[in-house]
This record gives sequence, structure tokens and C-alpha cells, in this order.
Amino acid sequence: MARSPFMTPRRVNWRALGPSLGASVMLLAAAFSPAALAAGAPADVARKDTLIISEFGPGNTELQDPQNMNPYSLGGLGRVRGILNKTIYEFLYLYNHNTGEQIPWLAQSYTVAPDAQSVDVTLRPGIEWSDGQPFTSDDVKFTLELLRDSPTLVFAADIKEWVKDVQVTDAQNFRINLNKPNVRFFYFYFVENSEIHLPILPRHIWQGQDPATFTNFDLATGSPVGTGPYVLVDASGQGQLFDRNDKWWAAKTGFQALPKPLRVVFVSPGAADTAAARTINNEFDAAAIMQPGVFETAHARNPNVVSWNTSGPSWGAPDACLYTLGLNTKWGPMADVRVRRAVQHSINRQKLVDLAYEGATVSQVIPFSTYGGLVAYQTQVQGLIDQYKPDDPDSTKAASDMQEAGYTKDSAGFWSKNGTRLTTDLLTPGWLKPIGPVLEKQLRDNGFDVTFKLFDPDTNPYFDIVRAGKGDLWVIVHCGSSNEPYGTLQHFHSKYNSPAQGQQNNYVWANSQYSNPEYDGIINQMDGILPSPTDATYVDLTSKAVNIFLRDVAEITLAEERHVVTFNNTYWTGWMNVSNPYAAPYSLWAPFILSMLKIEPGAGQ
Amino acid sequence: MPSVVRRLGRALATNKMLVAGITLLLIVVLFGVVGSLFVTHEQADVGAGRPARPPGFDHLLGTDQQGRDVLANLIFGTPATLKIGVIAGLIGVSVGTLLGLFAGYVGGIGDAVIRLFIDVFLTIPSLMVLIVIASMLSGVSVEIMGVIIALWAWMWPARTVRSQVLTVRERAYVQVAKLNGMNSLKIVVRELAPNLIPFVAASLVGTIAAAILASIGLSALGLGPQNEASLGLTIYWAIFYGALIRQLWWWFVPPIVVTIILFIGLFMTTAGLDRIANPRLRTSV
Amino acid sequence: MSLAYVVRRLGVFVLVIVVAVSINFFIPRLRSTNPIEARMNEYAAQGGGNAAASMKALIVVYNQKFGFDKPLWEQYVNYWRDLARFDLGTSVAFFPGLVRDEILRAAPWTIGLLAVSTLMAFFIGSVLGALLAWPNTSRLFSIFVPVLMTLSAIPYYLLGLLLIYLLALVWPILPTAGAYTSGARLALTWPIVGDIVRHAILPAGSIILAGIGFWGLGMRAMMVTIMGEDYMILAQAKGLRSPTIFWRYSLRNALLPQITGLALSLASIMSGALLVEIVFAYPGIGYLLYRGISGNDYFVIQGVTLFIIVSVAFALLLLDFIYPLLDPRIQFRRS
Repeated sequence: MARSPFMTPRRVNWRALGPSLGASVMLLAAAFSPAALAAGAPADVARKDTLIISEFGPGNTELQDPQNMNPYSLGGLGRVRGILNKTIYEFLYLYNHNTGEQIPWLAQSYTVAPDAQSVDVTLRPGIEWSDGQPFTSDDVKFTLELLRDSPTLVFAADIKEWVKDVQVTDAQNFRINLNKPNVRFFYFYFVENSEIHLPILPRHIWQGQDPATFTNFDLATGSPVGTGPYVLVDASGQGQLFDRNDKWWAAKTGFQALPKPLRVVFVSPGAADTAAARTINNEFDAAAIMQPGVFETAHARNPNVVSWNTSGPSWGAPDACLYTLGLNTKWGPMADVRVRRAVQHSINRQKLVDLAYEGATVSQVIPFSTYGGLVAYQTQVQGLIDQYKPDDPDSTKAASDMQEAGYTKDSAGFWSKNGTRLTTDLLTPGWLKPIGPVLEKQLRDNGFDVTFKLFDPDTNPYFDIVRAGKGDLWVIVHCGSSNEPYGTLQHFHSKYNSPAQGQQNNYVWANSQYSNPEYDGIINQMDGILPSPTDATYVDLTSKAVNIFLRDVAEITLAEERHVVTFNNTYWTGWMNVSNPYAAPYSLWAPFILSMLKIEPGAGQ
Repeated sequence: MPSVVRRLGRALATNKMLVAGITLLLIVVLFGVVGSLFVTHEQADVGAGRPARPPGFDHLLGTDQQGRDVLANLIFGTPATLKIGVIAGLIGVSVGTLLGLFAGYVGGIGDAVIRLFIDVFLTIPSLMVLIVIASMLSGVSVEIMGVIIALWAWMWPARTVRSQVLTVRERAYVQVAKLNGMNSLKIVVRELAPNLIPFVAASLVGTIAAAILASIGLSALGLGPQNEASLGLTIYWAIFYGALIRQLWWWFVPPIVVTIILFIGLFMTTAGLDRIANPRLRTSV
Repeated sequence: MSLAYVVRRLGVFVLVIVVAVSINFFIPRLRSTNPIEARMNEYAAQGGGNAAASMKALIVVYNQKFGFDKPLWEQYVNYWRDLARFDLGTSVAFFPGLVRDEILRAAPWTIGLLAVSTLMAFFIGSVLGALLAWPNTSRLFSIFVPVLMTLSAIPYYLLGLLLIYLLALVWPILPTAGAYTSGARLALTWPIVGDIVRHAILPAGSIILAGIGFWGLGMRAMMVTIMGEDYMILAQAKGLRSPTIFWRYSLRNALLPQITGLALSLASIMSGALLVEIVFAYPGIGYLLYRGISGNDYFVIQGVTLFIIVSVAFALLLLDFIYPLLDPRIQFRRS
């Protein structure tokens, strides 16, 4: 071994040791000096007045490209859902997913024309942009028509499909004219604000800019300009800082009180365990989602860390999505309804929930979430559920279904027909990983030669296969049931099928390839009706659709997707939860701004 | 040939490092082989037991969050991890040895080109490239992973073998053989190869060690084979379900212990083999 | 230093870049999906975009913009042409942001982290070396080293998490993650520099802990080819005074393996730093790469990979030029 350079026999050579030790000591002194320790918050705003929100989950484009403030650039939905949709941008309406209540915000009211080809909207008076200019119908017209005419912007395709133009009556009133009738247009694009957000852009800033490349970022002049209660003061890869705009229009007009936090900080939490540790250390006020077991540990260590539910094991909140096993009802072995029934009889949903999701959610058999808006419909179709018994794990029944379909078990115990074994992959995208091994085992135990094939982190091949009708079994989430059954039931309309096997369909979440003219007819009728659990026609159509869904096993709903959102009551309390459900607890969704306006200072550390 | 065997025998008797290393390795290998006689695949499957139970009589090392018996999972996972390392090591050392032999013996432009490539590949941060490559492929099998890791494993063997060949090439007996008209291939096989064996063996073990660590690292990130149990995959799921912060020690500590034993065993074996290869070496570490 | 040596070394450097760029170019194309479609799929998967026809039009527009509609060889040539202008492309995810800008924003953090790691490593090395001067430390040493070896067998990722758990949660003496306290406005003042250093200690620590094992293995390999210490005995026999021996002989000769060890493990230190940044949410290049991979952003992945490879190659080039200045023997060896 080479001798250390800093040693001569039995004497420490300080000449060489000196400089290195010296430099290190100096830096350490700086690190642990009182000034540095006190400067744990070198910000000029005290921690007790700061609201720190961490990324909901990884991949938020706002932090990846912190100086691009263009909400419609190709960053996709993440462009505003991280933080901008609660600080800078506001929306015409907000929505309480828990109850289905539509909350007028920038708009006071809206009316859908009887022919559903236009929507009249009235704005609230007195709304101002952060630079003092008034917010008017012209800004809405400018935004929608810009989206309609610029094919490279996010949501441009949608707006181009539906919006013909916007007619301005006066500063507060305008009419959106549609290309074709759509009773749900306004709700879907301007009210629900969970996935789709259409921030209105200030015409006086954006006019003349190239919308595809304009970064909308110029702190000196106050860009990005929005109507929200906060303005951007700093942005970098570590986080974005917003300071309260004391001249916020809502405070001026008395519509809302100014939010209590003087500063909002948006940061990335790091890997899951790191995020949990930081939350326990009170570094975040609204934090990332946690695994249920991790949350229980965090809550035990720090009782100020709370989630949606006040008791376990299901701590989390629904999000209108359902874990689902998709089946190819048109091509391949799953095209036979008896095989699909056999697959359903092989699945033990409760066990799946226990093993994959730590028992922290509930099993479901139809694609309805447990949101308030859906509960009424669920009760009404309970009779059908009792009749078809979709949640009935029974190996004998599975076996008889398969035998009826002409299969016999081969020497290894797997189902075969005409000498060929039924062998297929259970396609699993990365974010649904836990379900893969569990379902695989349940299916294999019942004679299906299924291997779970994971697509992670690149899920594109998964979508390519599934959307082209080339898969047989796949794990997926089915979303859309925030307030009405139509949201998910419509996805089994044949218009979503692939034109031929190997060609992509036209909606990424509707892959069952189910084709039934009777069902299409039902959905076509539901298209034109506004949803209501007291509307006899709507309810009747729902029953008919669910009946066909259960009878034909168009897909196998497994369980509700629930996320354990976390809040920390140390610095701020008053967060939404099951006892105080004034909005859904997802920091990604625009209605989260309601919590920012409601929270009060906590006890502090 | 016999002289090599004699040397080997003598070395084993006096080389404590080597013996210790090989013993540790045998423990790990036997753990996997013998262990699989006592547990069934069923136990290593999801749902074998109730989730997240601490060690008890029915599950000696407890269960993980998806119900797998941790001990059974470990027993089946260890050979899989070893397999990747061995595949990568064998491929890497074979390729490296051949290239090193060629470069050292033939010299000239061939040598220059090979040396260039060695330097180039040594410069590129391997783990980073491995991560990027693995993340591009959707789903890797044990064999593919072995091949990918081998791509960055051949450089050290090539370098070592080459410098050895350069040394031996000038030795007297080789010159004599040449003068006697022996053809190159015979020289390589008869004279060079026996002297290379200790070096190649040392490289092999070292490369396998690095390959195993690389595969565990990649699997722990979720980039490895998903359908077979492996040490890295166990660690991945442990991290995924927050085993660390939930203090489910029985889940993440055993695979780490096995990894450490493996690593130390491989390290000691390499050290021991180095001693044989270069008797002048005085080691205090 | 002979001209031949310099030329050869530069040649290697250039070749590294060529190979790296080529690998870099082809790797993302291992995937079957075109990056634009990939991005579109992700955006569609998050809830927007019902109109398939408009999506197809969008894909065509973007393919033209990013050049994916041309044949592969043409893309390759264009890639080189863009590189020559230091244009690393427009990030697909962060369009219209430029990859180059993002790398430049992230790079200082990684460099800083590595600098802190190096300083800490030197500090620890010095302390260990000083300990050796005292009698009876060899026993201490022989326990200490295996413990460190053991620690480095643990996958980097887990090691980082372990450190956070122990030193930020159980005994909260250090910050959990990040490069500085959330909400701070960066400025060059003592408190803020201190804050940054405090945040760097855990990540730097785990890089070092993780790297020690590989460093050890690498040093072993070096030992096989390094000659013995006969020159030291000769120097003492010649009666040279200790300081002379130290400065002229042992420092230089001991520094050589240190530097070589550094050179050899530079690549693996870089890889380790990458994982550490992910665990600690440290906004450096590693974290940028990770986000690029998660976000299917080919341009970012390519840009960052290239940047890292070139930086490492450049650092090694510098080291290789310093090396002969320290060790005159090198010249003779090379001939």
C-alpha cells in the first residue's frame, strides 16, 4: 500500500495536511455557524407566513423548465397543474368533486342553449389582471380563438374540434359557438378543472406574440400576468416562489378575502422516502402522495401529518379513476364472453386490494367512483349487480365457463383449445406496477398461462399495443366518472374502436374494442341529455347500459384508485378532508385554491 | 501445466485470503442451491402469507407487503442475481481476454486500435449509460441484462491481459520457441496461456463482482427483470413500499446482508488470486 | 512530455467524443416510438385531446420541426451539425426551452456537489493518514476498512435513503434534501453559502461512502502494476533529510496513485452522483437526466449524457497531462 502523502515515519506532516484541513474546516464552520443555522430560512419572509407545496408526484414540467410560463406549450397538462393553476391563473368555474357542486368563480353563470350548440357566459364584474388591466370577454375570445387557430398548442385540437368562434356581447357577456352540439362542453372544459385546464390569457400581453415559442416570463415587467392572488417572483430548478398580490381583484371587490400565506413556494420533494422524511420534518405543508403504510408511520411520528380520511386503512381520497383489467372483446381469446367471465371468476378483488394496495382502497365492479355525484346512480343499479354477481371469485365457476367455451386443461394445468394453450401477456404500465404480480398469480392459479409484462419507465409501447387492439389483457385505469355514469360508460361506444386490428384507435383510454349497436344507441341518447339522478330517462338509460356492461363483461373493474394525499398542520391548518370536504384534496387540480384561501396559521414548531 | 497446478495447490494452502473468499462465496451459492430444496416457489409468490408480517415461525424472515415469504424470495433471488453476474463476467472476460491477447501479441495497428477502444469505454460512465440503455428497453430478461452489463465489463480484463502478454512476450523461452520455428498460435497456447491463467481468473472474479453490483443497482432502480425474483428487485419493492421508513427491517436487511457477503467474498477471492498472480505483491489491505 | 504522447491523448479524446455522440444518437432510437408521438401519447394519456385527426396533424408539424421525418442517416448528419453549433436541441417536454440552457442551469450544482465531495474525501483521507502516524493504528485500520467496504456494497440508492433516515429523521442534525432551504432567494452571502454547504453534506457523504469500495478495488488493480518502494529505501540509505524525501519522493509518488485512482473512478463517481441527486432531489445534472428519462424526453437524455461523457473525458485529458509532470518515469514507459 502506498504510504499516505501526509505522513513521515512517526510524525504528522502538517505542511501538507494543513491546507486541506484548513479549507475543510472553514467551510464546515460556515455551514454550522450560528448565522447559517439561523439562516435555515434565508428567505425574507418568515416560515410561518410561507406556504410550501411540494410536487404531487414526479415529472412536473413546471419545475423541469421553470422559466417557461406558457401554459399551452408542449409541456402538456403539467404546464399549469403543478402550481400555476392556483397562484397565477384562475378559472371560470371551480368544482367540488366530492359533492358535484359547481362553484362560479371568474364567471357568474352560464347557460347552455337548448340546441346545445352554444353557451352563454356572464363574467363577474371587477376582475383585474395583476398589472391592473381589466379582465373582459375579449380575453376569453382571444384565448379560445388563439387555441383554435394554432395547431401546435396543447388543447388546440380539442378547441378546434368544438369551438366555432366566440361572440362578445359586452365586457362581461359572451357566447361560445360550437361546431356541433355538446351538452357537456362547458362542464368538461371550463368547470371540472381536474385534468383539463384552460387558463385565459391576457390579450394585451399575448397579442402579437408567437404562441408556440413565447415563454411569457419576464419578472421585470410582471410576466406571467394572471388574475390570481399570487405573482411569480423567482423560478429555478429548485422551485418557484410566489408572493401575495395584495391588489388581488377578489379582495378588492369583496368576493374573497386575501389568502393568509404571504408567500407560496413550490418545490420538488425528491424520491418517495425522501419526500416522506421531509414531510415529517415539517418542510412541506401540502405534500406528495404516500404509500399507505408510509403514511401511517409518518402520522405516528408526527401527528400533524394528515390525509383525507381521519382513520385507516383507507386514508386516501378517490380521484374518479378505477383500477381496471382491460380485455380485448373483439380479437384474440378474450373475444369470447365466456372466457371473459372465466377471467372475472378467477379474480379476487379484495385480495388484490390487500396485496397490491395495502388494503387502502375499496373494490368496485362497475366503473363508478365513490364521489357523491355517483352514489345515487350506484344505488339505482345495485339490483343489476346483485343479479350478475361480478365479484364472485370461484375457481369451479371459472372452470365451467372455460369448458363451456371449449377449453380443456392440458398436462401442465393450463387451458388449451384444439391443442394450443392459451398463453398471453398481462400488459402492465409502470405506474400500475403493484397490480401486475398479484393478478398474474390469481390468473395462473386458475389455469391461465399469463405472464405480466411491465412497461417502465417507457409506457409508449404499452399504449401502442393496447390502442391497436393487439393486446389481450392489460391493466389500466378507467377515468371519467366524476359526476355521472356517462363519463365512463361512453367509452364502450363502438366509435372508439380501432378501424382494424393493428391500427390505433382514437382515444387512449377506450380500448375494449367493444362493439354493440344496441349499446351505441343508448350512449347516443345519453349524449344529448344533461345528467341527473332524478331524470327518469337518464337513469333508465344508465341501467340499460350497466346491464349490457355486466352481461358482456366489457371490462373488469377492479378497485377504486385512491391516493393518500398528505397535509401538514404544523404551519397551516384548515385543509380539506372527509369531515370538511369543500374540495377534492389534489394539489394538481384547480379547486385546490379554495384550501389556500381557507387555511389559517397553525401552532408552529 | 503441472507447475501451475503445483503453484495453485501451494497457494491455496498459504493464501488465507483466497480460502476465506471462496468459502464466503460457497456459502452464498449453497444458500441458493440447498435452500431451494426446502422452500417451494409458491412461498416466494405474492399472497403466500399475510402482508408485512415480522419474522415468526411460519415465515422465518417474515413477509413483504405483497405477501411473499422473504426467506423463500431470497433463496430464489440469489441464484438469479449470481446468474446475471456470471453471464456478464464470462462474456466480458472472454471478450476482454481475446482482445488483450490479440493486442499484446500482435501489436502494431491492431494493438493501437484496441487500446483506443479500451480507453474510450473506460471514459464513459458505465452506470449512467446502463441506466439510460435499460430504461430504453421495455422489460429486460436475465440474459439480456447480462449482455448489456458485459458491454462495460471487458475493458479491465483486456487491459490486464494485454500488459501481461507484453511482459511475457519478451521472455526468453518465448523467443526460443519462436527461433525454433513454432507457429504463433502454438506459442500463444503453449507458452503464454498458462501464465495468463491466474490473471484471467482474477479478472473473472473481479468482473463478476462488478457485474453483480451493477445488476443489483439497476434492479433496485426497477430497471431489471421483473418476472424473476432477484436481490435487486426485492430491494426495489422494499423501497417502493417505504420499508425503510416503516422499519420493516426483515425485508430490506437480508438482501443487503447477502449482497455484502457476496461482495466481500468476491473481493477477498480477487485479492487472493492477485497474490498468486503477482507474488511480489505485499498487501496490507 | 513528448509530442507523440500529446497527440495520442488528444486522439483518444476526440474518439471518445465521436463514439459517445454516436452511441448517444442511436440509443434513444432503440425505442420504437418516435419521441414526438411519445410526448403526444403522454399528453393524451393525461386527459386531453380527443381528436385523432388533429393529433396526427400535430405530429406531422412537430416531426418537421424536430427533423424526425428525414431518413436516419440524415438525422445523424444533422445531429453533428447542430452539435457543432452547440445546439443540443429543443427539449420536447419543455418546448420551447433549450436543453443547453437547462444543462447550464443544472451543471453548477453537480460540480459544486462533486467539489464538496472531493474536499470531504481529502479531509477524511488526511485524517486517516494522520492516524497512521500513530503507533498501533494498524489494527484500527484493519477494522475500519472492511466496514467501509461493506458500506459500499450497498446499492447507492439505498445508502442515500439510509443516511437520510439516520441523519435527517432519527437524529435531525442535517437537512433532508434539496440544495438549499425551500423558499430561499439565492445570493452570495455567508448564511446562504453555509446553508448550501449544509445541504450538500449528506449527498456528498453518500457519494464518498458509496465510492470508497470501488476506489478500493481500483487501487488494488493499480497496486498490481505499481513498482515497489525500493526507491524510498534507496533515498533513506543515501541519507537524504526527511523533508526532502517527503517532498521529492514520497509525496509525488504517493500522489500518483491517488490521482490515478481518482482518474479511474471518475466515471463511477459521476454515475454515483447521478443516483445521489435523485435521492436527495439535488437539482443537478443527474436529477435532470432522471426527469428526462421519466418524461421520455430524448433531447434531454441525449444532451445530458453527452455533457457528462465529454466532461469526464475532458477531466481525464487534463489529468493525463498533469500526470507526466509529476512522474518523469512516464516518459520512459511510453517509449
